[in-house]
Amino acid sequence: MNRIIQKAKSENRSLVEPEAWQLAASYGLTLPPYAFAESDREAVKAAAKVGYPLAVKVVSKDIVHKSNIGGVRIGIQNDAALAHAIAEMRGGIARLTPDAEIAGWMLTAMVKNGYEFIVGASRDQQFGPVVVCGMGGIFVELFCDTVLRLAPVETEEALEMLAELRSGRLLKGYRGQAPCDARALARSIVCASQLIAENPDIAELDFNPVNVSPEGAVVLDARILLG
Amino acid sequence: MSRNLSVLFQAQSIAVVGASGTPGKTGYTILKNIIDAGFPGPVYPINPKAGELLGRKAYHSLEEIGAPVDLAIFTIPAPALPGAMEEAGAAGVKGAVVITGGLSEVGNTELERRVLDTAAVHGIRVIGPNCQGITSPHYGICASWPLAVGRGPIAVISQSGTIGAAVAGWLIREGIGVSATVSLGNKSDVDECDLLEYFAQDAATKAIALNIEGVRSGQRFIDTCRRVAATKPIIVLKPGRSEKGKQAAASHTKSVAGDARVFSAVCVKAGLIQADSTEGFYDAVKAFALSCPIRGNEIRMMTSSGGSGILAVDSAEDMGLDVPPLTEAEKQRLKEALPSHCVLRNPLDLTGDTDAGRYVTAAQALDPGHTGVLLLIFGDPIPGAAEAALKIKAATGQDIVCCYIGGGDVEIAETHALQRLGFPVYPTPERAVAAINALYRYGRVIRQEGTA
Repeated sequence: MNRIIQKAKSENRSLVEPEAWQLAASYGLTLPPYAFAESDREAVKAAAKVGYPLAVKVVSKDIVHKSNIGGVRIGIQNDAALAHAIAEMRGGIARLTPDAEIAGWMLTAMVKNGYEFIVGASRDQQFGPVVVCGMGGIFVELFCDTVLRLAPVETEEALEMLAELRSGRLLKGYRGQAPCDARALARSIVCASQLIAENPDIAELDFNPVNVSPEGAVVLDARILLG
Repeated sequence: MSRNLSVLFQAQSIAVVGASGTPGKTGYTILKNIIDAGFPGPVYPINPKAGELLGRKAYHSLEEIGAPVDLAIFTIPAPALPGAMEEAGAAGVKGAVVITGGLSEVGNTELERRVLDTAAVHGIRVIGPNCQGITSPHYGICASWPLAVGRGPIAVISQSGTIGAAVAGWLIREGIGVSATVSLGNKSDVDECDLLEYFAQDAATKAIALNIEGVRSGQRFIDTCRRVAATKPIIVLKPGRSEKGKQAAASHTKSVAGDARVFSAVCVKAGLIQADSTEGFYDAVKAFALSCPIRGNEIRMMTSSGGSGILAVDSAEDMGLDVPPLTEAEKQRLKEALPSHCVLRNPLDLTGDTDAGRYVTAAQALDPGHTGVLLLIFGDPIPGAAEAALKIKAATGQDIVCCYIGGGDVEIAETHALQRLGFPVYPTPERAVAAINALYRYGRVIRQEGTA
């Protein structure tokens, strides 16, 4: 069994974000420069490694939907702004979910431009692991543009999935935009499909959004639930 | 589980346990249809009153027959089944079809288990219970209803007795016929995978029509379908796409319908050709009965009806099939060969005054060796369409699918003639294109299998 999964299981919890990122990276998914800081002071130090501008997110096994309780700040430009943002988030979380235990802070480099896609995977009771890809961002539910396959898939099949998506046209260079790296997104689908197929303890995973641009496909948020 | 099911579909003697002389009763209908289908072997009605039923000597019990019985059809009430199955075992029966309902589908799982266990002890394979029987026209067997005898290349495996009977009925009415029909019922012993394996090696079966509401084992289903689909097309119709449809499936046959999107992914993985309506299901089945999988995704069209041609193009576009333009050389040759009012593009509009001969002339001007399909749309009465299609096939070497529309009595006669020659005919351009799409999709399945 994977070491990260084993640890979380032994503590009877799902993966926290730094663990999910580490696991995703070990399966070949591309992540932006990031760092996990256990204390507020360390966060400022870690920011030097990640580089500004960056996004900062609270890490807590007690908080699943970070943005709902003000646990995410983006576009942080410097040390002072980072320290201020963390202090504010601490205050807010203490008010809204006083029992939540804060393990630290995730700092991630901001990725600009590109389209937002979603790559996810879950487990069907009868047919086993499946992988899903679709248009991401705030319009996911409005357009319902997703395609699903049994996992694992290989690159060719992942490219076919993208060809089936209506939003797949965005990748080819829509309205004069430069074509995006569709192969990189296809590789993310392949990696996600292998991640769920090879780890029976994973019930569900969500990479949302995956930022796709001419430069590649970068996972900006990772959630992995154990079952 | 690979014990051969040929004892069922190639039975040489049949007993009807629960045969009746009263019209309207299932035991009467089954006995009558077995006899009326012209079953060549002995038929034994089993009825406590014995005597004679429909002109056949009846017996008190299976044991009383004193001769081998391959297949026993059970129409007796559910509580009598375990005893009757025990008797069948003692009499050396090899296969059973249990029409009787009132078992696991209404919660009588214990009773059903006793019947199945008894059958298993004696090595009897069981279709059903709670099913509409089987037919096997090549062996003169119709242990089902309605009476259906037309021999042909399609095996129909159906959860719904009605959908199965409908598809078989249409195939027979169109002169195509079936190799077998099987109503799955509770599929407590023989399930869809056993049947797929059997029909995969059945020489009379060219393609398999599968109507299911759920599967027993997901992984086994995928593995079996992949293996079978590599050699024979499987066309599948699975109801329960909507949330309420799923609930209806659950109460109909206790099937776990599952997520429709996952099942579609299963179809992609396993190489199944999935239909999304009963009509599309039948149309695809018919295409595979008469045609071969096609290699290319290009459709060239010839039509006498401009309007029908546009509808066909729209459908092709929706389905991602290509309607390539004519080459300059083709246009030049067509210009010389056809009247000036013909529209020289794809679809090639031969216009309303065309006769069958003009289709042949036009086809002879096309570049040969296309990998896609030629769609011939005959609008209005065009006599001689079948003969023309045969000449076009010879001239182009292309696979041909037809649409015959608005042709009155000529349409009926020509449709029949075309299909007898092996050209599938559809009454609308959309249905013809959807059938072409099914042929193309299966062509991709076997090409991928070949390169895998």
